Parts: sequence; C-alpha cells; structure tokens
Amino acid sequence: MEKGGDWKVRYAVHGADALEKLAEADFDLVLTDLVMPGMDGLELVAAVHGRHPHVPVILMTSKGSEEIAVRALHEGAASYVPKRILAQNLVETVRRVLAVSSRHRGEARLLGCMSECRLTFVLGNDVSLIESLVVYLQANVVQMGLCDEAECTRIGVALEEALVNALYHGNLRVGSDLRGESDQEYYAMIARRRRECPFCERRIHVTARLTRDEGIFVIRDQGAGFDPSKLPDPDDPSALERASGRGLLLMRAFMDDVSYDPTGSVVTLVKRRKTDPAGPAKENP
Amino acid sequence: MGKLRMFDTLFEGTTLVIAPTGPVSNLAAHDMLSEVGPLLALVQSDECRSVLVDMEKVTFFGSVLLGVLNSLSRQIRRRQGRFVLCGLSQVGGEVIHATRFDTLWPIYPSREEALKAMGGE
Repeated sequence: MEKGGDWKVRYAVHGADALEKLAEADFDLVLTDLVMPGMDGLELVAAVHGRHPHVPVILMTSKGSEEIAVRALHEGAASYVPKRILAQNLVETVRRVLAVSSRHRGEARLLGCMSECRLTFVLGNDVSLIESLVVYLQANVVQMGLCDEAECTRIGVALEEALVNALYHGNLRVGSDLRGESDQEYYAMIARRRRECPFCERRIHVTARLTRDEGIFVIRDQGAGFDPSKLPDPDDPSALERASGRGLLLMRAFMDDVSYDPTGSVVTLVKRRKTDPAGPAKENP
Repeated sequence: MGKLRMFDTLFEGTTLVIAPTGPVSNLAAHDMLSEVGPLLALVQSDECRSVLVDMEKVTFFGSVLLGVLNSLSRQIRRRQGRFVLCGLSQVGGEVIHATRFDTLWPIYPSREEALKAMGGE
C-alpha cells in the first residue's frame, strides 16, 4: 500500500483501535483483515458502516472464506481481496473503491447544499408504483434533513393512506362502506375497476415541494370528489369500528397539516421539521 | 398448525396468538385478505377463547391491517372472548392511538406479559 500509491497509511492493532482512530480523524478508506483479536473483520465492517457510512471498508479474506466475503458485502463492505492475490489486486481495488467513494462524497456534499426540491409525478392505477413513490419521497425527505427515521415512517404511513384514498376512493370510486360489509367484494371491485373505463383512464397527480424546513405534498385524483365535512367524527365512539375515515385519521396524526380543497379531490399534507432545542440540524456530509 | 404467509399462528392454551411476519403495507391488502379467512376460522374454532396479536415484527402498518384486526376483534368479542395486542413499535402504538383503538384493545409490551396478564384474569 505504501509503495503502490500516494496514500498516507495509518495502522490499527485491532478493530476497537481502528474505530478510535476513525473517531479522531478523517480517513478515506479502511482495509482490514477478517481475523483479528477481539472484534472480527465482519463486526468492524458493520461498525464502520454504521458510524462512518461514507468511509468504505475493504476486507482481506483467506482461502475458503468466500461466504464470509458475501456476508461482509451485505454488512456494507465496499469490496474484498483474497489474500492469495493480495499483491496483484490490492492497489487496484483500493484505487477503484476510492474513486467511487470520492464521487459519492461529492454528490452527498452537493445534495447537502440543496435548499429546495420539487418533484412531480403522474401515476396510473398501478398499486406497486404507489409503494415505490412513497419510498422515493421518504428518501428525499431524509435527504433534505427534515426528519429522523421514526418521523420518516410516520410520513410514509400518511402518504400511503393519502395515495391509496386517491386511487381507491377517488379514481376508482370504491367506497369504504363496502369494506365494512365485505372486504372480498371491496377488493374485487377495485381489481375490476382498475381495468374498466372510465376508471382505468384516471390518473393521480402528485407534487412534492421539499425544503430544509418543510415538505408539502399535494395529491390530486380525477374522481368526482367528496364532501370532507361528511366524514365521521373521529371522537364519536360509535365511529371507532366503522371502516371509513381511519386513513384520514392517520394522515392527520402523522402530518402537521392536512387539508382538502372544496371538491375533495385534492389533499395537501404538510410536514414541518421539528426544531431541535440543541440547535440547527446538522447538514449532510 | 398450517403456516400462513403473512401471519404466524399458534395456540397458547386457549389463546390464539397471531403474529404478522413483517411490516404490513396497505398495498399488500389483496395478499392479506386471502389469509383473513383462515384466521377467522381459527378464531371461531372451539379451542379459541381469546386472541393475542403480537406486533413485534411490524414496524409500521396502516388502515388495512387495522381493518383486519378489527374483524378479528369483533369475531372473538361476539363469543365473549378477549382481544389483546402486544409488541407494538413506537409508530405502531401511535397508529393505534390515533385511531382510538387503544380505548378498545388492551396493549402489553411483550407476548410474555400479555399471556401472563390474560392467564391471571
């Protein structure tokens, strides 16, 4: 390593020592043996991946440890080099991993400077796309530093409820009342209408405007709308076991603001970043 | 006991323990519904006196799983049985609270504590 490139190399005697050194200074890459006293290479890969996700780890493996190499990749290792071809492959592997991680770091730093993101989608009635959209929006919300993991899950639940409402109740015009009578018939009608005109021609329009302070999600369906004032009162005990209105309750519980336009076809959900009493949110690396 | 894809089931005495095997998206509703029939059949069986749903593996869920839980709850309460939840995640607890089901269903931190409480009453 010292001969093969213009890198400064520092050595750690074991995994815990490596983690201490990583905490003290910035490193571009970790190269580790699999077998070490105390923490083994796999544990070190997981620890580095968790604490310093931008630092790639390359594992040196012995003959017969191919399965462990695969596990290391699952744990977050960037690559591995079998010891029997270490002399031939190590320098090239390090160069390749460093080149990739350098690009990722640059991209992460750039995205850390993003102040606003606007996304627009037009979805048909493919249910699997709704799931993908929720995951994509969650990733962007995290990227903008709007929330932690639990909050991200809450946003995902609320968005999924809103999108499913737009599809099932809005575009396909299948009411929750039917679900109260027969779940089977409810979902059979959804499946049928996804293929029938005019339902199959309708689209869901989704826009998301994300800043460092808030996310605003607007979901518009092309159905006939509904009167939001006629939703059951959530405080009415008799409404508890009814099938309708639970999605809206969850949207309201997990977002800071939920409002419908007068037609009932457009719902706007707002999530604001919680102010950290310890100070402003840290920017992404 | 036959294994369903989205729910593990077993009897602890006369308590039917139902455990969803992972996060339950609303979009999995079609898959889930095919398993509701067998679940309801277990709830209606002679040996079932109460139902405990262990949510330990469910990090999040929405209105569709709530609907399934509500169906199971109604079924066992018609037979004067009890319906209890345990192992809720933080967000899962918030889902139950937001929809007011915490006023209807007793909630325990773990399966062991739930079974102990159910056995002791």
